[in-house]
Amino acid sequence: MTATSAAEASSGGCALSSADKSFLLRRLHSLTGIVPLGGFLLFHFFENASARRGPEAFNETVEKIASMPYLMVAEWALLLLPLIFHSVYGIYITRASRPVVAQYTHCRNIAYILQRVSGIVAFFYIAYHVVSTRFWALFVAGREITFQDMATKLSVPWVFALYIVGVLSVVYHFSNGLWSFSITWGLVRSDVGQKRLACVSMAICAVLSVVGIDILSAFVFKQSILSAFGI
Amino acid sequence: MSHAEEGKSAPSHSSHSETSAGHSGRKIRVRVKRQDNPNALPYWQEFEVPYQPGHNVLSLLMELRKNPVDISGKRACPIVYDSGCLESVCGACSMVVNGKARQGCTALVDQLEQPITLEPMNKFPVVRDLAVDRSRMFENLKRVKAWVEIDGSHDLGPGPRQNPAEVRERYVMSTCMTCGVCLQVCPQFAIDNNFVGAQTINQVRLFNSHPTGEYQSDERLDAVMGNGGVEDCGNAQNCVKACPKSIPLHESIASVGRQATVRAFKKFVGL
Repeated sequence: MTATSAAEASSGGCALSSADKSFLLRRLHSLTGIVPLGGFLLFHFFENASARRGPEAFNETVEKIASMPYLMVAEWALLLLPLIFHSVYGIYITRASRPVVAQYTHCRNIAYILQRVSGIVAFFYIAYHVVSTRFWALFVAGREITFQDMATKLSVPWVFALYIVGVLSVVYHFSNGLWSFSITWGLVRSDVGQKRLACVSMAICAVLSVVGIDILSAFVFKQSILSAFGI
Repeated sequence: MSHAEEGKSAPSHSSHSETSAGHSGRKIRVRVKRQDNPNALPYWQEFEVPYQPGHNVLSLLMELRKNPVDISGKRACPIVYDSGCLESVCGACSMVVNGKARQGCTALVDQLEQPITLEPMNKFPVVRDLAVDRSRMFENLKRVKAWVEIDGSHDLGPGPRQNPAEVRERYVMSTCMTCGVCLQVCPQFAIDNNFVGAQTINQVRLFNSHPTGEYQSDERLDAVMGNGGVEDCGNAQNCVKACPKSIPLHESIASVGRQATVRAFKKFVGL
């Protein structure tokens, strides 16, 4: 860029107008990450954990959820729409990011970069995951997905690896997102509060990562990793 | 204000630097990223300055002005840079020293790895060499009304009494010298976008927490709730790590975020 256009950008470009919708969109982006998407992530882990009790338990859970009232409306309006908005707007705003890595290696800057990387990884993973499970069930198979379907999928090593990377990305993105959500909305303000919340969010990340991998393992092995240890 | 201007005749050597060079023979090696005008392409030039104890980057640049000859012996144009107070109060001499944005006056040569690399901050338009145009920050300060409105056609009387604890808290925020380091290190702030950055957001917090300044708090919040406002913060928190005045910028951003939340809610329900 030439310096003249840079000068223009610096003088005329900073148009702070209250009529702008970017504040609303940003806040909506922040909110949808927690409700409904973060909430659904926790619910999704909870329901899928039934796989630890074997194929029958999992299939039973799937049937139970499939018979929920207003399921179609909830799925499309409360899940797919926020998901598309959160990911498309997220990628749109990530374009403006110019990460500074070399000189600033403190954990918040690393977390900032990871948040964006995990978001993009999560976008592709979730797209693949939703199409190959839910859309497959709705539009191709015409029946609900079963434990065996998932076990077959996950028995392919690269699919299993993809799921692990995907689940870890989603979990990190959600946990660190809890932290930045709290600052964006001003729930936490002080330095001490921000640091404590960072610890809490990373603890949540660790727990959810273990649970996520444990659930995945339940589909592939006879017994989930944790239940083998009696947990 | 540029202290080294083209065409200014500089003495080839001061007697002081000659004697100290004679003492040790040590040299300070410095690489400078130069740019002849705002539209020119940048290039690197390397210099050597006789060692003297206690040099900082600015005194080094002053020394270089006396005899601007690069290491190949070619006469160079004196290096243009901004400086003012020379004691880390005015913020004018912000530049990138060995990859880190900071003030030249507090960058002590004895603590720097050599060759010392000096670059202009690349988040601002380069005027010449190390001097950059930081007016974007001042424009943003005007937009958020970063002042206390005390002028009237009649005597407004004394201001309200203030809690000393709050005054102390505000004092730290008020030490901002608009140096631009927080913006230089910010991954969300770029030369071609319109994010206001930590510097302006901190001033919004400062004046919104002032008992008289808070009369304009809604206007300030509306300004930073627009395009390029506080929402563009990505919480990388490089700003607070790099701030030479140790201002808790991350707290200021969270605080203005909270005020924006309340303001948005009030506007939504019509309060």
